[in-house]
Amino acid sequence: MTTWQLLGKPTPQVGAVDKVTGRARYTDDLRVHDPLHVKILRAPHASAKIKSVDVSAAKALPGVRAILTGADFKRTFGVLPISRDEPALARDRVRYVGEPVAAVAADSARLAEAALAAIRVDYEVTPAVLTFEEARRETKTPLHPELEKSNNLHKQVQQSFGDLSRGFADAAVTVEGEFRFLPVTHAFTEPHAVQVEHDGELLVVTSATQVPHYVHLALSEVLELPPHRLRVVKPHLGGGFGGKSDPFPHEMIAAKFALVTGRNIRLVYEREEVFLSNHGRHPTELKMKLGLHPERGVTALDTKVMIDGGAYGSFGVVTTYYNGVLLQGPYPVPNSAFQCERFYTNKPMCGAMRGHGGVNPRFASETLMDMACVQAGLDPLEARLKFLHTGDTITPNGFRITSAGLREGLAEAAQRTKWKEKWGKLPPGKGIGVACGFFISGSALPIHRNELPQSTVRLTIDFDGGITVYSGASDIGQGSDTMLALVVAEVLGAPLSLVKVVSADTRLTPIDLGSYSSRVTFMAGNAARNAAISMRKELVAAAARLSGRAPPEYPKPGEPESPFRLGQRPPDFDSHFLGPNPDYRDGWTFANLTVTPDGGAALDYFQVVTAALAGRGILQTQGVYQSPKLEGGKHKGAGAGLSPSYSFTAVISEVDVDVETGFVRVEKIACAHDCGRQLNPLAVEGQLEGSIHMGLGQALMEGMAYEAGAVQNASFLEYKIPSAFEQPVIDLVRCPSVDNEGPFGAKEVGEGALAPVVPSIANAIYDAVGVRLMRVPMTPEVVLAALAARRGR
Amino acid sequence: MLLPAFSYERPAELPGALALLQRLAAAGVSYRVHAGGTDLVPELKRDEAAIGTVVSISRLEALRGVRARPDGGLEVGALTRLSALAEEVRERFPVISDTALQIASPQIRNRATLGGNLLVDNRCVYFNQSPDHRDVHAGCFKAGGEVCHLVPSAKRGAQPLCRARFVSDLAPVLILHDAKVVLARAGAERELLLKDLYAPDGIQRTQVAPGELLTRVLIPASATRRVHYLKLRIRQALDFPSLGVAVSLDGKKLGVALTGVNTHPVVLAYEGALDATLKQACEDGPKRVAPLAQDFFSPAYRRQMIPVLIRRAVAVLSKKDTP
Repeated sequence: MTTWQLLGKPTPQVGAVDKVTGRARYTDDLRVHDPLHVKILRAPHASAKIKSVDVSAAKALPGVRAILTGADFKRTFGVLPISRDEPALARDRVRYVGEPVAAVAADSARLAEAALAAIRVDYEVTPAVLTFEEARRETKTPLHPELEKSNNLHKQVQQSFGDLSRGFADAAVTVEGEFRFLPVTHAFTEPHAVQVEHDGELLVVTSATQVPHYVHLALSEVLELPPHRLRVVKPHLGGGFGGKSDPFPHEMIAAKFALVTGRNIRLVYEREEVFLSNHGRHPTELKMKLGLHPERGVTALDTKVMIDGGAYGSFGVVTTYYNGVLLQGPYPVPNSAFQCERFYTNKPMCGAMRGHGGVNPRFASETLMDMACVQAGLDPLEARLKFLHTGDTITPNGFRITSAGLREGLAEAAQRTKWKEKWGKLPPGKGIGVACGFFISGSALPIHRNELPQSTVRLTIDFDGGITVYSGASDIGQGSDTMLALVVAEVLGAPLSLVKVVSADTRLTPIDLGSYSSRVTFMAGNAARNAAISMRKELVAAAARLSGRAPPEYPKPGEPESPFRLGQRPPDFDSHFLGPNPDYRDGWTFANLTVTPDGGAALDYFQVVTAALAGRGILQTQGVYQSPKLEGGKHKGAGAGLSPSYSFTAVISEVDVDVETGFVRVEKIACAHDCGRQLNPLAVEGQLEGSIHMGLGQALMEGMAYEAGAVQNASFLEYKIPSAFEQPVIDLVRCPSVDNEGPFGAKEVGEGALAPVVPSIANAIYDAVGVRLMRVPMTPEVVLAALAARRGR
Repeated sequence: MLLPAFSYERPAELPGALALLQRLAAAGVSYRVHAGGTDLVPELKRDEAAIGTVVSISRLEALRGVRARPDGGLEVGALTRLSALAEEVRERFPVISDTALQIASPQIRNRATLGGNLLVDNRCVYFNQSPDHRDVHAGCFKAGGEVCHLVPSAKRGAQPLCRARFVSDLAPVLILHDAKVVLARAGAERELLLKDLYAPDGIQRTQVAPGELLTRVLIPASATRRVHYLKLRIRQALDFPSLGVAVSLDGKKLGVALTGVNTHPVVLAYEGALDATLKQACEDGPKRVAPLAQDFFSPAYRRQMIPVLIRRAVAVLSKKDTP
């Protein structure tokens, strides 16, 4: 193995200094020339017909330049081609409290706000659908009549593998439970914001988005504007967690105003508006039954889920699948069935949120796993160790699991936490619990079926030796720019300071599908690496000329010996097959700004660059990533959850439960996350600590409170994100794993660790006080009620 | 959200400030006093009601700081920031210092003042909302409307009209210290026991008359009294008290002051053997409060926690007793 110069060492993010000194510019910080300010009028009813919208009085106010209503937009949109059901502004009817109904562009935000008050909307209030029970009911007036259904079911998914009844017959113990989860939302720091500028024929849309490419496509459709007249730019971004991974109404509205008025446009959300937009984790009711055999592990798993999608589709179809398919890990499940139904209700829509679709069912499966182990007389940690997937496995639903390094990590975490001495042996009120998880490293199938690579990177070296990486990947705070710079610098033996990353600008950068589903390091990382290897070949050729050596012969690609070893296929630079994960030994070493042939004298990097530029003026290469064609299966929905690689996580929580107040204090969390090889341990640490914090919030306190469809706690004071005081002491355990297809052996770290945090806390509470909690969040009141119920028995 | 338009005054001296308040009061101008602004500014941004004038008292240096009194007690300027208060009373009144440090966050404590905490506006899930939200659930009495969403039967003229809850952390602790407040007006001032400052209504919250300004808080010394405060909240930072329980022991006297569970602080006083007084306080506490569904925790839970926290506070104080 090549020794790394930069990778594997903790490296602060490339924009870190700008961020902490306030120099970094976020969308709201941009000062576009003389913009109009936009404010949005929102629906005060969960469900109502719009009989009329009268904007005449508002239009007559001083400073008001334009007003838009639903009539100004012909087309609806949505991130998934299968559910383009959301209007930029409501037409005919409103489907949730806070839905945009009209928008005003005025000379100042104050004038725009004043004009909203002058818009008269005549509503006919209609009965709202707010619960599962109401959504299931037969109705002549469903939220989405275009689906031609007689109820509000949006999507139903059913899959089964193996023989469920035989699986349960095979089990030594069978446990089941009914679980309920409140809706939670991302609570990112930076509110949604968009600014639009005119640049000749080009409309430049700067937006706080995770998915510039999808925003570009949606704008083109909704505005009926050719794609080449749009440019979408994402500047510094203050957190997304899935909450900025859809195209949004405000982006459509701002761009439309720019077209209508010919002016630059500025639109920045209030915090309350962010809560009203939501797109967070679905409220969920879930029934699950698990069969366990002490030797063979999970023999059967039966899951029935209902998720409350709110008013529109968003990522909901994917969420519906993920509620089931992600249960195919972290243990083999030979016999399983799952059914998930997503309903439309008159609430702000739900969508993708960190751990997408996998978090709530994971709570159920890991709680039941714990119960089953206790019933079967097994140590729940040892049982998990025994039953975890091994590498090079195909699951019954066709997932190809390449690397699986959790076993060593969990064993180490058990040692470090002194699990053996603690589990079942701590004094009353103190408890320790474990849970495991499993997540994708990006989706093998893109949202839009096409032949484009999932990520493309363009790489240039200029006369001064400066290296520029052009990638569509969106750094949303997770550090993807840093990752791209590190990967390229590593291959070219250059210091980080020589590399500039230009990212997330749909005019300047080649397509990357966006920052969601934990795909960026895996996909954009591989693309960057491949571009850098191509560049390396250019430089080696020039260096060979300079030193009078023959250029190296690069091997042609061979077929991999097994589907688990695609990564060992050697690169073919001529056919641009550079991966997924090639090595690049060619008799030359790039290090410390020198290029050195084996057994020869070092050449200066800048000298080599000058030689390579002769007669060309610019050095430019490209690298792509495209998932290998994975078979999956023949069943319906076989593509859901199919990923080139999967992460594994184990979390051990230690809690203190106050039996008088019901307060749960999570004192320590040990987390072993198999993310393959760590490219930047500091970034890994940040992602894991963040995942733990978010899991802690959902476990103990977070929940959107609705009354008559209105969000009652739409603020950071009343929506309870844990403070620094609640954050436990964290011990991160490395898993010695190298993925054959991940860039330099890496796989995802952004999301997977969240899900097991929640059940590990529940299992620790059981160890502490002997109650099984099946309501999330596990607030003090939930804990007290469970304790009282147990005493009552 | 944008601040509404209002006129803004920032007098340089106390007499000028008091004269200004008197003028505004006499002219019937609606005004709000701005000290740290951590409670007021968000409220102004949300408020649809027209505000005439905001009077900033931030230049009245005379109202800042802690001074020792001849009797060994302290006189604290109303404009003293919570972070400074925590620092400066730590030696004499550690419980006041600890309580101040349980309020909000370090950043907020660097702005928020003692007077502001004692006069912090009552809170309610139906009131502390944006104007847009009030279009969903019609504006309540406190927001200038004609309904109470918590007590739908309430009509104007009812007492209390508004059930918005009292949320000061420092008030129950200072009440049990028999603290007094000084209310100044142009040319005169009066002293009032802090416990008498409050009124049992979420709108008419205090006895502060138009034109009056809370200028100082007087905390008498006591060689024998010990006070402890426990705050119930889901997060150990930022949150207002879902329930706050202050308990004092002074010889045979047991005092309890509750916050967060009624329109005003609820004060209980007992004398006798601790076993008996404690039992009585634990029985009375839940009955004397009126928590409603306006907080993260349910009314029943907040009631249920009152005896738990009273007992715990007494346990802490009793432990301190035995050297």
